[in-house]
This record gives sequence, C-alpha cells and structure tokens, in this order.
Amino acid sequence: MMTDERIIKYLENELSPEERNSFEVDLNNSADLREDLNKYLRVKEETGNLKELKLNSLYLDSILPEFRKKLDIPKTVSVKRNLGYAFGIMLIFILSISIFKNFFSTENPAIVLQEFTQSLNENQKIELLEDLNGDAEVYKLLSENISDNELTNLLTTEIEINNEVAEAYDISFNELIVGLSQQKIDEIYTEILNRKF
Amino acid sequence: MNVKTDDHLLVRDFLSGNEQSFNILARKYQERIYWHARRMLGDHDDAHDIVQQVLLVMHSKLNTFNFSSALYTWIYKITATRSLNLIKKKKLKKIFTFSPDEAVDSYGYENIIEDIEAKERFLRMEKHLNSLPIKQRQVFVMRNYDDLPYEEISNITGKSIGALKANYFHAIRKMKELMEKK
Repeated sequence: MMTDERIIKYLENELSPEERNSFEVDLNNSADLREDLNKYLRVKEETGNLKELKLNSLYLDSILPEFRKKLDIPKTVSVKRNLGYAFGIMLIFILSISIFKNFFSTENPAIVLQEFTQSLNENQKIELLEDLNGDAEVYKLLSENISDNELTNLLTTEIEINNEVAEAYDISFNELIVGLSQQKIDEIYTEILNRKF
Repeated sequence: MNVKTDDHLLVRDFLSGNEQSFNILARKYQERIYWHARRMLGDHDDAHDIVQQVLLVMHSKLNTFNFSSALYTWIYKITATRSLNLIKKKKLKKIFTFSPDEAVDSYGYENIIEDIEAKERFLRMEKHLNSLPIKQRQVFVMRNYDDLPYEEISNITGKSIGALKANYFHAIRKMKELMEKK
C-alpha cells in the first residue's frame, strides 16, 4: 500500500486493527512518515477551523425577506422573451416546411416532363431525340408532341443517314483479298464455312 | 424531541398553512445551504442565488417530502444538485461566450465574514478548493466540512461508495500538495 493511501486510510479509520498497529509502529520509526501524516492533519485542521465560520448576521437576516419579496411578486409575462420564443418557433416551422416540401410533393414527374418537352423548340426536340437511346417513355412523350409530318421527316432522315453509313462499310470481295495468298484465302473461306456463317 | 421529528412537525405545520413554520426552517438551514453552495461554487453571488433557489424549491415542493428521511438530507440533496447544475451552466456559458477564466479574486460582498483573519484563511482555502475537479471538490466538501458519512454522500450523489472514496483520496492528496505550495 502506498504511503499516502495508508495515511488517508489511517485518518479515515479504514485500516484493519493489524494494519493500524503496523502503521503506528512505522510512524514511531519514521520521521518522514510522521511529517507526511502532519501535512494531512494540517488539511484536516484547516478545514475543521473553517467549518465553524459564521456569516454576518445582517446578511443572514436579509435572506428570508428577500425570499418573501420574490414570493410576493406575481410572475410577470416578459413580452420580449415571448416574442423571442415566437420568432424561434416560426423560424423552425419555416425551415421544416422548406426541408420537407420535397418529400411530400404530389407533382407527377410525367407532367413535369411533358411541360419540359413542350417548352423545347423543334431543333431542340430533334437533338434530344438523337441523344436518347430507347427511353420508351420519353420517346413516347416527345413523339406525342411532334406532328406526324415532322416525325416522318425525322425517320426518313434517320434512314438516309443509316444508308450512307451502310454504303461506307460496303467493301468488295476484291478489296478484301488484296495482299493475301491463295492458301490464306482458302483457309479463311473454309473457316467461314465451318462456322456456318 | 429530536431534530428529525422537530423538523417533521414544522413541515407538517407549514403544509397545513402556517408560513411561520417555514420561516423557522429557512432560518435554521439557510447558513448551511449557503456554505455548501459557496464551497462548491467559490462565489458569494452564486451561493446567494442557490440559497434563494433552494428556499423556493422547499416552499413549493415540501408537499412531496418523504417523511422517512431527515429533512436536512432532502435539503442537502437539492442544494448539491442546484450547485452542480449552476457549475455546468456556467461552464457552458463560458464555452459559448468564449470568455476567459474569471479571476479567482472576484469574491464580492466580503463583509459576510467578519473575522478578518478567518476570512483570509477561508479565501486561501477556497482558492485551493476551486482548483479541484468538481467530483473531488464535492466529496471533499461533504466529508470534511459537512461531516457526512460515505453512505449518505452516496445517497445524495447517487455515486458508489468506492468511487466516492477514490475521489476523496485524490482530493485530499491534492489539497495537501496545494497547501504545501502556499
């Protein structure tokens, strides 16, 4: 057990009779232990002296009248404080509405999309159609907002473009075999046949 | 008739409408309430506030007092809780207002202690007490100034006796060191 712990337990009367005897023997033999004990006794003595400190009687006599005065004063309603509370509640209410507005919105996304497509001019609609890759719902909405003639024109343009692309990739047999030996040509032909191309 | 039954009679008398009985109880305990609060808070104005608050609680809540315990334990519990709450409140206020630590010598209203020599010793001791952490300060005050046994401190604070003893050990050791330095 540490010295401090032994001293405090000794002062607090928490040592067993054997420990107490042993401590008192050590106390007789050690000046350091006596000095340490005296330091703790000084703390006890100082607090003990201050325990009996008396308050000024005038001050003591003033406590109860002040309390009675407080009891007698009716509770006043502070306008300033109440306005502060009201403002705070209003602020929280407005913030809550703005935050939760999106969660409880009943607006149909399809209606929003329809309004959007109607706001586009013809060129913008065509550009959008080109950008879309099979989004059926959007395509349907867009097509509903474009006249039949415009749609036919659009499809015709698309077919023409596709034909041009196809023609660009139309490579003749002779162009393919340039630079290949007869043996290599036969091998490729056999390979194609084997794959049931 | 002992103090406990005496107090209980006064409480019953007050509850039946006799305000004079409350005045007797208030005069009897106001000084002890003040000293506990003052030792915990280290400031006269705060201690004075606590006295007023505790009297107010006593006046409005004595009808909830359980007559199985001593009245002073009930009052002491309120005083200890109110003092701790004020310390926490002041700490929070200090954080949010970014105010620096207040000077320790802001005691104010020093005429409340008439004996000059005792006052000096008291202020020196108060300075040491203020440098203890709250839990250690509380158990030190309850043990050394109010002579409460650990069981009663445990009942008031809701802490285990082991934890209280550990806090007291650190508190008294620190007080010894502080008094050595002076």
